[in-house]
Amino acid sequence: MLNTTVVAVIIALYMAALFSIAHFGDKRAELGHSIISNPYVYSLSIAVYCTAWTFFGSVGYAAKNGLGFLPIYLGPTLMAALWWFVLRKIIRISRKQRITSIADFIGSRYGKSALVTGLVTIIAVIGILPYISLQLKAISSSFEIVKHYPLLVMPSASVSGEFWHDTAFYIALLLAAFTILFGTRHIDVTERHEGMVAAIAFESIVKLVAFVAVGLYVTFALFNGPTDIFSQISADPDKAKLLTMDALPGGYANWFALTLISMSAILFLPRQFQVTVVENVDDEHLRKASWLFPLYLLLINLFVLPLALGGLLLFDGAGVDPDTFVLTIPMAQDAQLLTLLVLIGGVSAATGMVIVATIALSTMVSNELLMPALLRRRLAQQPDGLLLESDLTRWVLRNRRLSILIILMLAYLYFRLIGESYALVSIGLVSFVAAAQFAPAIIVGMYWKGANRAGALAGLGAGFLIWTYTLLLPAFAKSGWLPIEFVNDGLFGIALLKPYALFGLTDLDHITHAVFWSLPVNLFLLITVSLRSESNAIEQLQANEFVDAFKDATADKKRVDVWQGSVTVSALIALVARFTGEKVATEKFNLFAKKHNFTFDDKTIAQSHTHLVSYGERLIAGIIGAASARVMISTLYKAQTLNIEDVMDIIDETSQVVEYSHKLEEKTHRHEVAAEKLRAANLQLQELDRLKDEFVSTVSHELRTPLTSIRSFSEILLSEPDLPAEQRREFTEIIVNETHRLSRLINDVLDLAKIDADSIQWDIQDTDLVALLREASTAVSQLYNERKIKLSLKLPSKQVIAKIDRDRIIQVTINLLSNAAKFCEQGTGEVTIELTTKKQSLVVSISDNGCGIEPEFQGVLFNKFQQVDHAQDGRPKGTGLGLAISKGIVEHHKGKIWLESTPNKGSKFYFSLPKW
Amino acid sequence: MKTNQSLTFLLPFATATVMLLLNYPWLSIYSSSTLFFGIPPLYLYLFVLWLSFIITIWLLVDQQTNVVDDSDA
Repeated sequence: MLNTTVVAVIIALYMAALFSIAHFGDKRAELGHSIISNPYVYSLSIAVYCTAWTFFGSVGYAAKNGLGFLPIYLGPTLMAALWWFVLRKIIRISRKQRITSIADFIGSRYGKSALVTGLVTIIAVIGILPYISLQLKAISSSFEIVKHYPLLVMPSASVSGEFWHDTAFYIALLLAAFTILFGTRHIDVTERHEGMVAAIAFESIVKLVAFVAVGLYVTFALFNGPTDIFSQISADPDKAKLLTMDALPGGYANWFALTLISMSAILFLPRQFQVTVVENVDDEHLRKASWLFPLYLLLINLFVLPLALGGLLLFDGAGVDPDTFVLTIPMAQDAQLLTLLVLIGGVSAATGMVIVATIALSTMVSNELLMPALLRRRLAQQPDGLLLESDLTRWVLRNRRLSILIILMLAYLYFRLIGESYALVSIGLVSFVAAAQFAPAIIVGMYWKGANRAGALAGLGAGFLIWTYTLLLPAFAKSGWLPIEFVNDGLFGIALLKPYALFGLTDLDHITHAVFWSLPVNLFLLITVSLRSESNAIEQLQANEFVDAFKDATADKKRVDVWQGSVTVSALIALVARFTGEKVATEKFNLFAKKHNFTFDDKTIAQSHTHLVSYGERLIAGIIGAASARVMISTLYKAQTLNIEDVMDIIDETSQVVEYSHKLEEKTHRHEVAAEKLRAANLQLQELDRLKDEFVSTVSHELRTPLTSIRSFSEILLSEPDLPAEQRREFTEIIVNETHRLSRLINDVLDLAKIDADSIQWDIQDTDLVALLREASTAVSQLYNERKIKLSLKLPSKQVIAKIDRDRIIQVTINLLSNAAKFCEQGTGEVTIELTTKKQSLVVSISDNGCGIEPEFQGVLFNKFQQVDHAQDGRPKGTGLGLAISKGIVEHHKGKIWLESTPNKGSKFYFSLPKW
Repeated sequence: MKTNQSLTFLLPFATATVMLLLNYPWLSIYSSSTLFFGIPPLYLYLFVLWLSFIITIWLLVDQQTNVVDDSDA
């Protein structure tokens, strides 16, 4: 009953079911009720990693190489553990930059370079073609086998006949039609395909169920559990080594290399990037996906070894290709329903991969290769023509559909040329090594700002060349399309250039060999060339955006709008609308305006609103990719098209302005400080001026008083010659005294002026202070005797040497002693001179038991012309300069002068001199 | 685990450890065709290690949602 018609109908029904799921998913998404916005669907969609390679190929590989298939799934598990750190950052960046594909991602990182994007696209397409052709091969051989049901007929090893008799060709066409229906029904700004993701998740369930079902059937229905299979195998010494590491073709190096490339494959295969990054709804889903997806891998691999070994035992030497065990075992047992389930499972594994991979690749080809080229050509032909076209959406879709068809036809071509001569896994691994070439540029670029365009181009280019030389070209040679001598003897017969043993590296299998050559060279060139070359402004800008993706809050403010010139908001909206449709564009811009608090009309200039043009650019980039979006935006600027130099200028200018204003700020600050100082100095000057005026008026007043009395008494003496001799003598005495006072005053004023002007000739010498104080007390003894005041000296018995101007210090002491005498009561007064030696200074104190000084006078006593003007009764009057002069002299010796006094109890004057 | 800090940052270390455990010479210890309770030791080792690692990921990523996450830096 299981014939071609039944199979065809069932497959058609399955495809219809898939399509309705996709349709349902799209409908729900339009209504805003996403069915894929949960971590479970997300995890299942990532399981698109498991393709026909896993479904059929793993068993085939295990039948030959034991557990050698496992690194392909252990690597992704290791990587999944790091998703929370690495993948979350990639998703964050992609969301912000509106990344549409892996080529767009790498290109954007390296300065939105069209060259990098183009190179990545070419590597991706050429690298993934073998992988897609693998799926074609798997589906077509499954059909071939089931077609002969219940007979077990292996499909012929080489394809003969015209291609229109070939099942694979029609499968390729069918898949192209299917992918076009799935992936290009409409164009979304985020390049997301909700319906497709829902369908892929469904396919992941189907293939898991089918595979586990056949695994359980073989293990428990055909054998008595896994122990039965394992014990039968270990009994056969030939097959027993399949249970150990000895079965691996390249040993531990191969195991490690496969782990490494599958770690990068899970992130950087274009279709994985599509489902994990582009189709991601919420990066919180990673929390569950990072263990759910590895769990899925574990489940689907659990029965691979039992299946493979079971198949070996069942078909012992019967000429059945191990790659078909999954299908042929149930067929051989006549289990029709299970055979059908396996066929559907295999088809779902293959179609899932083909659909996602082709959509991802076609997005790249149309956005990064076709669009920029076409846009540039049309721009050159008719500079304004582009904007006249009303709706570019259809044009984009046409490009996309064309790309899908081209890619699938190329995959079919590869299948026809090469595919038949290889096992499934070997074909897939070739693609893995190609995808691994993206890892250095992405990972290094995400964490090191120094990585630049030149480095990325060098690394990717070299990695791709090595891949081509060591894997792709030999494959063509082996299939007879290139001379086989180049593989066996090396290029031009040079043994060192053998593609499978480059520079004498002979001990490895082909895949491991290619990995160990391409990845280190790629990484080395990326880093060294980056270090040796300059990054331009856009590269630096993008490097910051990528590396600092998690610091967006602050980084956002510093972003520079690279578009210069004037474009109206309405023109910008019109341009965006050609890609997104009028409604979406207007909505998006209104939202932006609302968020940034501004309104716009038809004539508003876009540049005055920060990031508005870049926002528009990103909207377009969401549909046609970053490189093309730049070309589109540049059409708005016509003659003002941006080139790198312009950006450099803008950034230079900005940094110059920043620097200039910084300098200005600094200068202003310095001026402020200076002004403050000036103000203080001015105040001081004003005070000094006031003091000078005061001084002059006081001095003239003090001079006039004795002069007046001298003049008046002289006039009396002159006008009255017959004055009694007694009176004449009295008057003359007054005149003499006043003259003395006058000359003393003038001397003091001169002294003070000299001290103030610091023009005294100081005669500093080692002097015995004790002797000095004795001399001073002798000098005033006359005065003290007259007033009957007791003067006592408390001086050390030894010499106390100080470096001082002897005469001046005597002057100070005499001044203080005579002051003390003045304020003591005649008869009862007692004055004491004391010299004490302190740690760092010598202190002379002169104490009296006089009337004391009121507290309010104590502060100003050392000012000029200050006199305690109460109760002067009969005491000799001073000039009021004595203490000021003393202060000047002591301070010149770096000493201090001060007093302690209590009214009516006496005063104590101190002056200190530093010890030398 | 009485800490309020997210333990997610431990994951890279766990990954490095498992990466070592999945290589020579660890694998060579189990590379034997003598069955262990009817199961090949290498098969058993790989799948048990795999499952434990999945549980570790679950503990360190999915079970850390209610604590402060500072893994952004």
